[in-house]
Amino acid sequence: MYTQRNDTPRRGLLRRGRFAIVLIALIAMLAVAAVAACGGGDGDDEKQTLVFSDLNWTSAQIQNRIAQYIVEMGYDYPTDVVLGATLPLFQGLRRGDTHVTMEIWLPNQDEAWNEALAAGEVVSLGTSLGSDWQSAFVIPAYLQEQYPDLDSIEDLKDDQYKALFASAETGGKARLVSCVIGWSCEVVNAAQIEGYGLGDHVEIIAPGDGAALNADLIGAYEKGDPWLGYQWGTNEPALVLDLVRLEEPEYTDECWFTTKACAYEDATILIAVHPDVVANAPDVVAMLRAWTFDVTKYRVVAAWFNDNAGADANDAALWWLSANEDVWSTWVTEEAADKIRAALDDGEIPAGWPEAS
Amino acid sequence: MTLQEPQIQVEGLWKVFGDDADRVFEPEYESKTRDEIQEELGAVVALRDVSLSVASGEIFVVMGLSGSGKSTLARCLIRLVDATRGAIRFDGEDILEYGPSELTEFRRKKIAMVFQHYGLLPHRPVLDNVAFGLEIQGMDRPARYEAAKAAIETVGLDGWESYYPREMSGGMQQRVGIARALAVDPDVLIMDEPFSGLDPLIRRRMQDELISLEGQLHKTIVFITHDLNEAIKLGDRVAIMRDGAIVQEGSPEEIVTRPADDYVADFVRDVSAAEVAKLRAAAEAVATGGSLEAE
Amino acid sequence: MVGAAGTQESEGDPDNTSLAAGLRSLASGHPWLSGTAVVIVVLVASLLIWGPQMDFPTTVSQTEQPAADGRTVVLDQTIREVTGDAIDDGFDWLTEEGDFLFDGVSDATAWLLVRIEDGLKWLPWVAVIAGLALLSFGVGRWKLMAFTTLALLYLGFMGLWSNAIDTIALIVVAVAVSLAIGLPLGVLGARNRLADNLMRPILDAMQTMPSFVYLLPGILFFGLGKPAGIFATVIYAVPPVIRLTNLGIRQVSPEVVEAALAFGSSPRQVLLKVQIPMALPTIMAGINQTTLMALAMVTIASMVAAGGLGDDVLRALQKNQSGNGVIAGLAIVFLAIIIDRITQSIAAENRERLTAG
Repeated sequence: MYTQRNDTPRRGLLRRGRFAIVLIALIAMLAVAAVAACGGGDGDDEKQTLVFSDLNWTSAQIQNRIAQYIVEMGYDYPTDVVLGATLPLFQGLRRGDTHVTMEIWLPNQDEAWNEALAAGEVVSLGTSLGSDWQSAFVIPAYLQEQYPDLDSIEDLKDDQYKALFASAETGGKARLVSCVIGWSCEVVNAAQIEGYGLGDHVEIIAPGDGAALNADLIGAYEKGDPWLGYQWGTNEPALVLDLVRLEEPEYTDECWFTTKACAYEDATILIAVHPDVVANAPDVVAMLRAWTFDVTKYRVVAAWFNDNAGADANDAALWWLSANEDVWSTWVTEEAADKIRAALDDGEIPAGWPEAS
Repeated sequence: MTLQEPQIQVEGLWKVFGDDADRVFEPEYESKTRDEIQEELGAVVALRDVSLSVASGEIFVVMGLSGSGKSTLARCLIRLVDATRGAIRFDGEDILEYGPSELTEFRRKKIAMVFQHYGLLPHRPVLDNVAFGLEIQGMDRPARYEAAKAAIETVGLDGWESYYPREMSGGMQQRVGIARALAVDPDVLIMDEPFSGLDPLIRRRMQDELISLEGQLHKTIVFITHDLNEAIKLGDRVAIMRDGAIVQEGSPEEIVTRPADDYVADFVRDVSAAEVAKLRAAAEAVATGGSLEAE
Repeated sequence: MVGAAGTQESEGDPDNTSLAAGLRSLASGHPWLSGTAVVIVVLVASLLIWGPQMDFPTTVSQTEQPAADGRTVVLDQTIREVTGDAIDDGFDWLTEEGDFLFDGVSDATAWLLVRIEDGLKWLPWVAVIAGLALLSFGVGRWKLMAFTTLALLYLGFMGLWSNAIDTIALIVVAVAVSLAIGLPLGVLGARNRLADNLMRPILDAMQTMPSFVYLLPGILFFGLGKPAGIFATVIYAVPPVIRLTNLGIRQVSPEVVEAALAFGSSPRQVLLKVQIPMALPTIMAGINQTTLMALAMVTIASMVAAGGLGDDVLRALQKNQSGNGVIAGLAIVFLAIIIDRITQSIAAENRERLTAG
C-alpha cells in the first residue's frame, strides 16, 4: 500500500493564507455587528411586555397570534412568545417568566393547576376553545369500515380484535398507545383500562412525548395499519385524520372518583395569566375575559391552515382576524377595535410574532 | 556453485508509484534521472529496468542504500508489490500473469519471506507462528505442529514453542521468522534485511547460522541488505542497486576488484580483495562444519 | 482585482491571469492585510447596496389568500418549506414501500427483547444479584463485587428493579445489533478508502444530529415501542464500535499483514487470523464505549415507548419531581458503572493475555 502525499510548501502557505482570510472576515463581521447592535434597542416602553406561553401545538399558537395581534395593535403592549412544552411553560407562568397561557387543559393538568391556583401563582380568566373537546380512545375510520362491529371499548375483549392490534412485544394483547409518560392522562388511562376489565386484553404503550404519540398514529395511518390509542380534540392528528371514538360508558362523578370505568369528562380549557398581569394590564384582562374563540371557529381556521401550503400560525391568525371582525370586535373596546382595523388594513404585523411557526 | 537453469529470471522490471505512472515510459523521460522525473510528473520510479537471474540453490544478494529500490524488488518477487512493467519468470512461468488463485498457490508452496521487523503475530505463541503458513494452507493441527516443531528445531529454538514473541530477544524472534519460512518448505526464500535490526555480535552469529543452514538445505535465497560485509560474506553473487537500477552484478570478488563505476568503487573502497577472500573462506568453513545453536 | 493591499509579485506562477492565481498570490503575500482588505470591500459594498440588517431571500413563491373586507393574507412558500416537504415525501415513500422490511426487523428485535426481559424477570432477584456479584468478583475482586451488589440492591429497594431489567435487556439487544452492524462496517472502512470517506461524515452526523430529528421518522417506520428504542439507541451508539474497529485494524503493523499475505493468506484469512485478533483490544474499547452510549440513550428511548428506567426519569421530570428524577438518574449511572467496570476488567484481562504469555 503506497499513498502519495504531495503537500508542497507553497500549497501549505496558500492554505494558511486562506485560513487567515476567513478568520479576519469572521472577526470583522462580528465586530461590525456588535457595534451596530449597540445602536438600536433602547426601549421606551412604559407598558409591560406580555409574554405568551407558546405551547407546542397548533391551536394554542394560533390563539396566541390572535391575542398578540389584538394586544399589540389595540392596546399597545409589546408582546413576546416563549416556545416550549406543557410542563416547563406552566412552571414559567407560575414564576412570572411568561404571562399569558391561552390553553390550560383540565383535567389533564389538574394536579399542577390546583396547586398553583391555591398558591395564588395563576389567575383564571375563563375558557377558551369552548368545552366540547374530549380525550378518548380512538381508531382510524378506515379500520371501522373494515370492522363495523368494532365500535366500543368492550370489543377489545374479543380475541379477533385483540389479535388485530397485537404486536410482537405485546404478547398477544392489543397494543394501545396511551398518553404521554408523566402526564395525568397516563395514570387516568391506565386506571380506565383496569376499570373496564381490559387489563388482560390490552398492553399499554406510553410514549415520552406528544410528538412521538402523533408520529406513531400518522405512521400507522399512512400505511393503513390498525391503530388503537389515545387522542384529544385539538391534537394535530385528531384534526387532520379521520378518527373514530370507541364508545365508553358516559362520564359520571361517581364513576370517575371510584373505578374510572367511564369516559373522560369533557375537557375544560382555561385561559390563565400570571397575577402581575391583572395589576399591570387590566384592559388586556378584560379582553381575555370576553374571549369567545371556540371550537367551531377553530375548526374553520384549522381547515384553512391545512388547505394552504406555506401557511403558518401567523398567516392563519391574520386570515381569521381579517375575516372575523364581527367576532373579535365584541371582545375589545371601540377604540382598540379601530386601531386593530387600521392595522389590518395597513397589513401591519405585530413585533412580538415569531418569524415562522 | 553451477549456474545452469535460472530459478528466477527478472526481465526489464519497472515499478513506478504515482498516478501518472505510464507517462514515465514516454521517450522524453528516457534519459532523465529519477529525481527529475519525480519533479516533473510527481511519480516515483522505484525500479528502473531491472533484469537479473538467480540460479537454483544460490544466495543472491541485492545490496543498496535506503531508497535504492531493493526492498521494492524483494516485494515484487512475491508480488506484495505489483510491478508496473516487465516480467518475473519463476521456473519459466511469469508470475506477473498469475490470477489470484495461482498467486495464492505460488505464495503458499513456492516461496517464503523473512521480514526485517520479523512480522510475527504477537497474539500467538512461537509454535503457532511457525505453523502459520501451514495453517493457511489448511493443514490439520497435528501435521502442521509436527512440521513446525521440526523447523523450530532447525533454527535451534526447541523448548521455546509456547513462548510469545514479546518474551524473546530480537535474534530469537528472527529465528522464529526463519523457522516460519522454512516450515512451508519453499523453493525460494526472500530475506528482506533480516539481520539489520540486530546487534553486531548477534548479527554475525545469525549470518554464520544462515550459511550453515544453507549448507544443509540448499535453498535459493534472495537476500536484501545495505551492509557490504554481509553481502560479501553471504552472497554467491551480488547485485548493487542505485536509484532503482542495478549498477553492477557479479561475484563478490568481481565487485570489489573491478567496480563498474565510481559509485560502486566508492562503496567498496574500504574492502580489499584479501578481505573478501578471508570472509569467503570463513563462510566456507561454517557451511561445511558449523551447526545452528540457540543463543 | 481586489487590489489595494494585494499588490505583491507572484513569482514563478505560470498562469497569473486567472482569478484563482490572483487570489493565490494575494493570499501568499500578506494574508492578514489582504484578508482585511477583502472584508472591508465586501462590507462597504454590501452596506451601500443593501443597507444594514440585510435579509436572506428565502421565499420561492407567494400566493394571496383572500380574507374579507378586501383584505388578503400573503402566504410565503419558502425554500425551507419546499425542501422539508420533499424530505417528508421521501419518508412517506419509505414508510409505505419499506413496510415489510421495517416490520420484519421490528418483530425480530421485539421478540428477542421480550424473551430476554421475561427470562431475567423470571429469575428471583436474589439469584440475579448473586450471579452478577460473582461475575464482578471473578473479573474485579472485592471492590467491584461490593459496588455491584450495593448498586443492584439500590435498584431493587428503590422499586426500579423491573424497569432496570427492561433497560438491561434493551442495552443488550442494542449493543448486539450495534456490533452486528458496526464490526463489518468498521472492517469495510479499514480496507476501503472510499467507504471510509463516505462513512466518516455520516458517523459524525449520527452522533451530533439531535435525536428527535431521526426519532420521528423512526416512529413512522417502526411505530412506538421497543424496536424504535433500539433504532434510536443504535444510531447513537454504533459509531464508536465502527470507528475503533476501523482504527484497530488500521493500527495493525503493515509488516505483519504483509507477512500473512506472503504466506498466501486469503483476504479473509488476513482479517480473521491477523487483523481482528491484533485489533481486539481497540475493538473492545469500542464495544465498551458503545455500551455506555447506549445507556446514555435510555431516556430518549423512553420517549418512543421503549420502557425501562428512562420512563422513571421522564415521569419525574414531567411532574417536576426533581428528587425522583435524581433517584432514577442515579440508577442509570449505577448500571453504567457496573457494565463499564465489568467489561473493562474483561478487556484488560484480554489485553494481558495478548501481550504476555
